[in-house]
Amino acid sequence: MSKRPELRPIYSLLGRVQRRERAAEALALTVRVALPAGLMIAAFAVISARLLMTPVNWTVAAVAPIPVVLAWVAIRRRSIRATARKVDAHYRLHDRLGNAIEFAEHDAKIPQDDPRTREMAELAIADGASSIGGLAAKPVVQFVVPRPRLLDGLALSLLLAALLLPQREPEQPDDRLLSGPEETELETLDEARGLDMTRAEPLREELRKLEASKEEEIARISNELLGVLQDLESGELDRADALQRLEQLDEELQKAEADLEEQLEEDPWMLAEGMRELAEDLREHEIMREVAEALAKSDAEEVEKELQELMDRAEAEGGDLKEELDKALKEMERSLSRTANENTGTEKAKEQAERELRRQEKKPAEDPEEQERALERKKERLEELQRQADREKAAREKLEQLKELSRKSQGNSQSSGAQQKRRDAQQKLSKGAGQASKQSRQQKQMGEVRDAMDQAKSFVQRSGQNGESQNRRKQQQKAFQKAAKGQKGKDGKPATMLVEGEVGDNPDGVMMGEGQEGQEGQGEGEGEGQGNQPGQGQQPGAGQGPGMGDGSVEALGDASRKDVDVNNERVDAKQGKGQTRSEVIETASQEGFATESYKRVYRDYKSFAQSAMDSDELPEGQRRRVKRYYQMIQPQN
Amino acid sequence: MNQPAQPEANTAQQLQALAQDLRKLVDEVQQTIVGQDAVIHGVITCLLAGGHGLLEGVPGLGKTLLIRTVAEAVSMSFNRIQFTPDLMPADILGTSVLVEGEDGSVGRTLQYQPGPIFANIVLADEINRATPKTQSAMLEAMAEKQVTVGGKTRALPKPFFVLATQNPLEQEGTYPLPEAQLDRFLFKINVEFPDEEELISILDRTTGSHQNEIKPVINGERLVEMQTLVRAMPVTPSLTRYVVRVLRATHPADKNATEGVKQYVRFGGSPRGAQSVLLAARVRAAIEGRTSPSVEDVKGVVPQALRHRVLLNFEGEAEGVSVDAVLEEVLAKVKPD
Repeated sequence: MSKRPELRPIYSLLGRVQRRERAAEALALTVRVALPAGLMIAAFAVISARLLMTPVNWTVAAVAPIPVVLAWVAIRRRSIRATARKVDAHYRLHDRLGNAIEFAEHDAKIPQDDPRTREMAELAIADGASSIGGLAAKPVVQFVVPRPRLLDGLALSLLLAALLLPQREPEQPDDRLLSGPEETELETLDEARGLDMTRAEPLREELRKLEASKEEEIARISNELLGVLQDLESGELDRADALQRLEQLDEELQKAEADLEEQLEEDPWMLAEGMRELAEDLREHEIMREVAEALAKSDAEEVEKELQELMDRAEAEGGDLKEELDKALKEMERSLSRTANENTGTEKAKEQAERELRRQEKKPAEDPEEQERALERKKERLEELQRQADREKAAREKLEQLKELSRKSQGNSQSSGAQQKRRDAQQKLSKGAGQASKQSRQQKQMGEVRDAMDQAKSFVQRSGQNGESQNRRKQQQKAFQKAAKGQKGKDGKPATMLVEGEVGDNPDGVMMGEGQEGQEGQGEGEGEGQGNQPGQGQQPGAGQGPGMGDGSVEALGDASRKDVDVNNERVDAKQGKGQTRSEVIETASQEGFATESYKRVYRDYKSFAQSAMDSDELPEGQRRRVKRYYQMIQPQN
Repeated sequence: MNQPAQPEANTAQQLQALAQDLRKLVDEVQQTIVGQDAVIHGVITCLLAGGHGLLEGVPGLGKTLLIRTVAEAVSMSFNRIQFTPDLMPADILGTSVLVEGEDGSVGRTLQYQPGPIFANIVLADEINRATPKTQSAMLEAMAEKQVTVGGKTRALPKPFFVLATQNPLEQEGTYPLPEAQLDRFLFKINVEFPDEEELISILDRTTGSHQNEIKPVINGERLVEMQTLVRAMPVTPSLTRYVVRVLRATHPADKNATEGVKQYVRFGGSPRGAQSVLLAARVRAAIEGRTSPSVEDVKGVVPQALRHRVLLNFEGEAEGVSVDAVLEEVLAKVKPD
C-alpha cells in the first residue's frame, strides 16, 4: 500500500516510536524477566554444581534469558495503528493520527451515501497530517528501568544461598573406607589401573562356568577370555592390548560358530526346545528325575548314562520299576511328538519370501542396479529360510526317531527276540537323547560365550572411558580418608564409630551385630572389622545385618597393617519395597536366570508376548525370533 | 484513496457552525442551569443523535427545569406530562371526542384531539409512576415516532424527543420501566447532587429577583440539519470493531467478558446499545469540532448509553453492584486495535 505523501511524517514518527517501544520493552523485559530468570538459573546451576557435581560452567546458562527476551522483542509484531493510538493518547489528539492513517488505508470502507462523509474523512486525514508538527517520539516512550520487585530479591537471595552451599564430596565414603587397610590397598590398586573389576565379576563368574564346559573350543575361548580379564586386572595388559586380544578371540569364536553351524544338520534350537520340554515333562516321573535334571542342564553324557542305567535296571528288575519306566517313556513319546509337530512358522516365512521374490521379479524396480540388489537380498533371504527349513526338518526327523525309539523301548515281552530289540532301541534312545542334548548344549554355550565376549569388550571399552573420572573420584575419597583419619582421637578422646557386620575381637570395643564373629573364610559379607590386635578381625565377615557398637580406641585400625585377604566383592544393597521388575531382570542378566522372582517376571512377559503373537499379525520370521528369544532367557532350574 | 478529493470548505464550515451552535446552546442552558455539565451534554447529545433521554435523580436537582430550558433554547414545541398512577394512555396519545356540529347539535362528529405527546420535545416527568399500560403507550411513539389511536396512525412532529425523568428513591407506588422501553432510550443520564459552589450559585440565582429569559439558539429545522451532519461523520473500522467488542464484552458468555460481567450480569447490552454508543460518540466529536470520533469519545459515552441496557442478575442486585462499575471494568479490559 503506497503511503500518501502528507502522511509520511506520521509514519516516520510512528516508526521512531516503535523503535523506542522495542528498546524500552527490551530494557523492561531484561530487568523484569531475564534478570530474575538468569539469577534463578545461576542459583540452580550453582546448587547443581555443589550438590550434584555438575560442571561449574553450566552457570553460563544464566545469560540465556537475555537473548531470548531480546529475540522476542525483535520478532514481536507491532501494530502501527496501536502505536498511533499511543501517540494520540499521549498528546491528547483524540485519535487524529490514527484516524488519518486508517481512513487513508481503508479508503474503500468509507460509506458513499453522503458525500460529506468522504469529505469529512479527507478533513480527518488533513487534520492528522497537520497535527504532526511538534510531536516527538521521545516523550511518548520513556525509558524507565523497572524498580526491583520481591521476585528479584528472592532470586538474588537464592543465588547467594546457593553460593554459600558447601561443595559436596563426590561420594560419601562409608565407615569401611575409614576403617582399614583393606580399602586402602584396593584404592591403591584401582588408582593405578583406573579399573573397577567388581563390575566384571558377574562376567568372570559366567566365564568360569563356561571354562568347565565339556566342549573343548568353548572351554578354551572362555579360559582365554578369563585370562585377558585377569591380565587386565593385574596390569599386564593395558586397555588397548586387551581390546586387541579380545578381537583375536572374537575371530576365533566366529570361526568356532561357523564350524558348529556347518556341523549341525538339525536345528539346534528345536532340539534344545525339545529337550527342555522333555525335561519338564519327565520331572513328573520320579524315576526319571535325574535324567530330567541332566537334560535341563544339557549334560549330554549324564543324560546318556542315567537313561541307560535306568533302562538296564528296569529290564533287570522288571515289576513296578519297569511299569514306571514304560509310563515315563510314554510321556517321553508324547513330549517328543509334540515338539516335533510344533509349527515354527518357517514354512510360512519361506512361502512369503518366495512370493516376495516372485513379486520383485514381476514388478522390477526402475533402477536395474536396485532391482539386482533387491533380488539378491530376497534370494539370500529365501535361501536362508530354506536352510532353516531343512534343519528343522532334520530336527523333526531326529525327534520323531527318538519318539519311535522311545516307543520301541517300552513293553514287557520276555521273548529273547523282543528283549533284544527293546535293548537295542533303549541303547539307541540313550545315545540319541545324549546327542540331542549335546547339540543343544553346544549351541547354548556358544551363545553364552558370544554374550560373554560382547560383555568383555564393552567392559574394557567402558573402563577406559570411566577411568579418568574414577581416578579423580578415588583421589577425592582418599583425601577424605586422610582428613577423617586426622580427626580421630582428637583431644585425647577415643573416637566412636558405627561399623557394619562383623567386628574382630577387640579388648577395647563392645560389638553388637548379627554377623558372626571371629570366624574365618565366611565368604560374602558386608561387614569388615578391624581391631588393633594383630591377627584378629582381618577376614571379611559373614554378617549381613547392620551392626552397631563402639569401635576401638583405634577405630580406624592400624594404618600400617595390610596383611588382609583382599577380595573384590559386589554388594547390592536391598532398598525400599523390594526389587522392581527391571531390577529383577537386571539381576537375572548378571547372576543367572534361576531366581523365583525372575521366573515370575519371565512367566508374565512370556504370556504377554504369546498373547500378542496370537492376536497381532506378525511375520513368521519375527514370530520365530520372539519365540527363540524367550527360549534363550528362560529360567534355569 | 486513489485520487484524494479536495475537501469542500462547505463541510468544514458546516462542522464549524455546528460546533459553534452547540456551544451557544450549552452556554444558553448554563445561564439557567448551574453545573451539571455532563447532564447538559447528555441531553444535547440525545437531541443531536435523535434519541430519547432518561434522567434519573433525586427530586429537586433541576431535571425538569433543565429539560424545559433546553426545549426553550432550541425553540421547539414542548409538552410536559406528569406521570401518575391514574394516567391513562389516552391522556398521552389523545382521544376522539364528540364535537358539536356547526348548528349546535351534539355528537354529530367524532374528532381526534391530539394528546400531549404531539410536541417536538415531550417531558415525561416521573415516568415510572405510571402503570405499565400507560408506559407501554409510549413504546410506539418512542420507537417509530408515530401513534396509533382508534385504528389510525398519526405521525409525530419532527424532530421528536422524549426526555423522561424518574426518581430512584421512591419505590413505593412506582412501576419500573420494562426492558423494552428502557432500550428505547439513547441515554440514561444520572443527575448528581451539586457540589457546594454550584449549590451556592443555585441559591443566588433562584432566590433573588433575577429572572433569566431563555433565548432560542437554534430551531427544529437547524437541529435536523445538525443531526444529518452528525450521521455523515465517518467512523474508522477499528473504532466500530472496538464498539462491538465492548458491547459483546457486557455479555457473560462472551470470551472478553470480565469477571464482574460473568458474576453479576444477566443480560448484556443490545445491538441498539451499540448504535447508541457510536451515534453518541459522533455527537461528542462534533461538539468538540472534530471530524471523526475517537476511542475517548466511545469511552465517554458508554456508561450513559449502556447502563440501562445491562441487566444485573440476582447476585448483582443483592450485592448492590453498580452497572457503571461493571462497565468501567469492561472498558479497562477491552482494548482497541
